[in-house]
Amino acid sequence: MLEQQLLNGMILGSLYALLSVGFSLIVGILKMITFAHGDVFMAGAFSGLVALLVFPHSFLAALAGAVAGAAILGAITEWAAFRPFRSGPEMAPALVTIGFSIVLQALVLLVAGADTKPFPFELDFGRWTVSGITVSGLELATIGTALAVLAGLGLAIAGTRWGLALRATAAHYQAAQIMGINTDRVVLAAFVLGSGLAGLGGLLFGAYYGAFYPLMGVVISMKALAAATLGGIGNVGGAIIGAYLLGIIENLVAGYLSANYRDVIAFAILILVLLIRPAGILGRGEEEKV
Amino acid sequence: MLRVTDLKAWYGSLRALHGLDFSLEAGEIVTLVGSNGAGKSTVLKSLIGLLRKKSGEIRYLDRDIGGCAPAEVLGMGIAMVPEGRWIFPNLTVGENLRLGAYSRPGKSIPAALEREFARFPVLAERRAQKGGTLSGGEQQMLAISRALMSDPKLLLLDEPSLGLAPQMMEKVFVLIREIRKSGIAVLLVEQNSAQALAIADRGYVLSSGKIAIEGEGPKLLADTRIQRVYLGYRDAGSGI
Ligand SMILES: Nc1ncnc2c1ncn2[C@@H]1O[C@H](COP(=O)(O)OP(=O)(O)O)[C@@H](O)[C@H]1O
Ligand SMILES: [Mg+2]
Repeated sequence: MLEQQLLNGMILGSLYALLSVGFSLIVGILKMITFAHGDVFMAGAFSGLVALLVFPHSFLAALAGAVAGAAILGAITEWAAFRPFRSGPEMAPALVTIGFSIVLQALVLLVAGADTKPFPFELDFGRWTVSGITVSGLELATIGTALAVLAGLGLAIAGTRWGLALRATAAHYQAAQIMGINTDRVVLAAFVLGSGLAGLGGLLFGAYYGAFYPLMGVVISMKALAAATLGGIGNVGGAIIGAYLLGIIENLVAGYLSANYRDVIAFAILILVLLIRPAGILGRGEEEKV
Repeated sequence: MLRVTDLKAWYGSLRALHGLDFSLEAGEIVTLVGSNGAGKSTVLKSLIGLLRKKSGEIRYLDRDIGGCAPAEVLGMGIAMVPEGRWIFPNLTVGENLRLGAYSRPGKSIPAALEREFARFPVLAERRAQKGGTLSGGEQQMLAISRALMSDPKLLLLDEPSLGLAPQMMEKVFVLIREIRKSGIAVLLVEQNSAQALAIADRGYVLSSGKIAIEGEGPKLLADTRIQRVYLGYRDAGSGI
């Protein structure tokens, strides 16, 4: 029972993490929020389905299509909503992303319809029962893909020249510029990466639940944002920890307390954590030395 | 080396610089002094390319760099130590320094690091520490060292002595002279004008976004009238 809830928590956490990391990257660098992230997740998932029209029965093609589609949408978000307002009013980009979110939902609704679509073919990667809990290949693939991709991202941020530029840009935008960092390019990279991960999450979500629909990104993106805040917004490691915590807490609440109130209780816990640590689990308060 | 003609700069619709002319030759220390809000930092931000809304000509080594982004300006050998230092507080001292060499990826970073650690042994000791944990004086050393990591031909220094204890301040001015001796030209912005004019070859007094007076550093320093009118000394000669 406990093991099964933990497994479910890991799966949900993986999906949250693929979304929350994008929030963290974007907020970390620009100190501004995008409201289109959930719809990039959704439209990415649908791009994966579109890729299947070209390469039928290839799960890998669906994954690649989702990542590519979402990454392109991420680039468009940056380009249309954030770049024009770099030094302008801080609310303008948020407003544009709300518009972009509505447009994406409407477009998918128009092209694909409002009905919920399953993944077009059966994804049977095997199924194992280990000491009472059953795990499917798709579940393992979801957790494994998320962990591998997120670990890769973490290593790149910690250990590469690009990662150093990213951290510098997040820490102090103008200081990064006078180091010779092309901050516009860093911001674009953050959007492309964060959105690509969201697309991956979208396809895994749709495949796992067997449900692709135009509003599939709405609730989960709010939860992923909450997870990123829980971990310490702007901190990628924090966003990942927050995502898995939220996923596991939700499933434990559903399993042991009440399935109906899982969200209420999970969010109550989240608010409690933030009351104790306002900057989140890994977040640090602003400090400046004279 | 650097010739600025009729430089104007704007923050939004507000004009901060009203047509400046000044120049700097290779190997010189030139200082811009003036009271708070005169436009000194704005001049440096315009030169490095942080401030894009400007007009006039900025000619550096026979190129007009007025339209260049900071990355391009850095690439041509100008580095800046900004007012307030802009250390990356959550990155290590080593990472801060590495970022200083970001604009010259091909060249040897280890060699430049070694040179900087020799110049600032305290930074070598603290290389694994977060930049934010350093004292104010150490952060200023880090900011200067970070700028030198790019092997600049021209160093822009914005109020490097600001907020430092007197001995630390003294150290900074000694350091500036050493930097010049190593062949790097220095454009020094200071509110601490007495010290700045004392070490500068030439100086410009900035007032309300315009050059009010220019001349040799020590001569400007000796002119009590200038001190009273533009630098706000009540008791000329005693410093601030
Ligand atoms: N970011 C900014 N936005 C608007 N006005 C600014 C900004 N920075 C400086 N100013 C204005 O430009 C003028 C020159 O400022 P600055 O160059 O910082 O002066 P200094 O460095 O000589 O103290 C001042 O009137 C200041 O108020
Ligand atoms: Mg200033």
